[in-house]
Amino acid sequence: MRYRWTITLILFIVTGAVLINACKKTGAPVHQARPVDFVVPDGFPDPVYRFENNPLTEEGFALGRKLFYDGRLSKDNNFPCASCHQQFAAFATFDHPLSHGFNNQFTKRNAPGLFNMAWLKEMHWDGGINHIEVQPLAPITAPNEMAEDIGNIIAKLEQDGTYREMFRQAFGDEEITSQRMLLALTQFVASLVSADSKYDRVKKGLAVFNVSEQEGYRIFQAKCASCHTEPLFTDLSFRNTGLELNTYLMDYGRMEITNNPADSLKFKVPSLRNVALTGPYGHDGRFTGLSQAINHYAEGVAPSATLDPALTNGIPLDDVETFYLREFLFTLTDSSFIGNKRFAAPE
Amino acid sequence: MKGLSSYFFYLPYGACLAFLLLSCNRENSIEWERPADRGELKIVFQHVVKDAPLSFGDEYLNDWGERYNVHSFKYYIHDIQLISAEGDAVSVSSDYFLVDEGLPASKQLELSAPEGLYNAIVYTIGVDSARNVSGAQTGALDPTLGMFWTWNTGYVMAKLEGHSPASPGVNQEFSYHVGGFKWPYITIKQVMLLPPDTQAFEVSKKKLSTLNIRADVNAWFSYHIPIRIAENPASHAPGELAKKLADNYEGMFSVSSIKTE
Ligand code: HEC
Ligand code: HEC
Repeated sequence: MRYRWTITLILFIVTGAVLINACKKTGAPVHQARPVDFVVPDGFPDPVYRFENNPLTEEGFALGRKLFYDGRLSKDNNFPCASCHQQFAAFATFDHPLSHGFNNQFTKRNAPGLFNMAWLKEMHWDGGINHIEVQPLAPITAPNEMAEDIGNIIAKLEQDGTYREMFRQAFGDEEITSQRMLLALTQFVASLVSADSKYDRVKKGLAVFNVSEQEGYRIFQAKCASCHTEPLFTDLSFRNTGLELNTYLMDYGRMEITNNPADSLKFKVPSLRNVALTGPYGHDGRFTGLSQAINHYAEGVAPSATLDPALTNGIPLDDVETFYLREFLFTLTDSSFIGNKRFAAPE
Repeated sequence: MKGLSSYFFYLPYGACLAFLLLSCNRENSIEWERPADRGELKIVFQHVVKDAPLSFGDEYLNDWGERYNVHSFKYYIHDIQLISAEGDAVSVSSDYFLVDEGLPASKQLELSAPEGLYNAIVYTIGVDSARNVSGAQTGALDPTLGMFWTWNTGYVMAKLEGHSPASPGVNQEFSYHVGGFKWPYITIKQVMLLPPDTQAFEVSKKKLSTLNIRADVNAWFSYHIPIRIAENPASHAPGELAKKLADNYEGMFSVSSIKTE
């Protein structure tokens, strides 16, 4: 008697398990891709990009990383993303006011460093890009950058068995689409998190500022933090800091996107993390060194209708204060970020 | 008696099995209740200039006497609804369709709608604002279809390109890429079209209903607001001109005939 019940129970469990599994299989395709946690550093706000429709995985990241370093994403195969975004320069273009692109042309703007991108609501100096996933389409199709067509890229990648296999591992099958390419690139770019500078270690109580850095931090909080707000060191707004119009580039910044004259000459407040590595400075790279970029606030602010009200009289700074500010800004360099092998060119 | 009681042992098992099977089914089907019967509905877009069919390269005249020809004409359609005889909006499809004069198949939408009598058709021209800010899309909204601005994120809702001797542009080209989903330059347009004789039309599972919808390119230049190629040969970003063009092309559609067979 009792053993019949046991059989019934076992039968029930086994069939149940089989059925439930069968049920699952007819739903979303099962990927073998291994999930990765996106870690939000202590003290950081919630990221804007949350990988909601693009689950972060080892395989997706690896594919994005390969794409980021692959010249085939450009027309003549010479200009991968990484040609302008170099890891040792915190993914800015090292020592170039403007970057080189296809056919010996220059970009219109200075290439920013790429880190903490998952926190940006809008990308590019003018905020023209409203979503990180579609950002790569801008450099890929721009005639002075990579000058390529996504259809051609897909055709090139389809020739390559390694890619087909990597798309399969990341997305479940070998199909290569623009969407999958963009999602993979996003997995890589959004994973570039920089939050391990000396400043961060001081905040965690793991290091201490020296006297000059401490003094620089005090000045920074008083005079700069209203726009370069911690912990991202940007408040993500667009402002005119009195850089005179570059009459060669004729770049009006935010207004080119909004058509609103009130946005004339406004540019995104850049993060100052890793700033020691990302020179030259300013949206067109007009300041060669950090001291020049800082001195601008004291001596170079040009009046105009849209100048930020906080800068009507500039920001008075003497040489000593500028020195301390620089000392502090150097503590924002994250050497573990620029040395992180995970972000380097794949072998 | 003994035989029967042994079957009882399997009763709970059988019940659970049935339950599991049912719940499995329920998860996979969209509607648990029996869906209403649907009939086939075909929408055919006929591109014309006044009364002449549009043909790439042929010369036409707009209302301002400007001669022009066309080499590209496409637009997004989505959120197609029918208005029932009782005045309710009935959803037909929430998909996106890119109607392209260059791809004849794209001009015929094969859909289905709940059976009934309808007074009007409603659809949106363009891409709603949510889809303009949600990252990488696929299908009709694949950003590689030439209907996406890469430097100022957003979809081109509708596109008209051609040549005109009136154009001061390079090679006498004119090119209207119309988009913009943010105030004050919103170009998303919902249109409601009535049948030619304003008679109700039927959708039934026994018949195929075809709505022939005419789109008149000349409306782009003159439906609400005069737009002369000579003064405005190009629109390549959201803004005042794009908004005016959308106000105009909103009026390009009309139902030319309805067939039920
Ligand atoms: C030819 C040089 C060049 C190439 C190649 C290039 N970029 Fe850039 N990148 C730039 C410049 C310049 C900007 C700033 C553009 C602007 O503000 O208008 C930029 C901006 C960005 C930004 C926005 C950063 C911010 O703070 O808003 C991201 C993200 C980015 N690039 C990622 C990529 C990816 C991914 C690729 C490859 C698909 C790529 N870039 C290829 C030069 C380049
Ligand atoms: C009113 C807002 C505001 C204040 C206050 C402000 N900044 Fe800036 N900062 C900006 C904006 C906007 C830019 C980009 C300007 C451009 O290129 O057009 C910028 C750029 C910079 C750059 C160049 C960064 C790069 O990657 O190109 C540095 C360095 C800098 N600021 C440091 C400072 C320091 C130091 C202070 C305080 C003395 C300060 N800023 C105060 C808004 C501000």
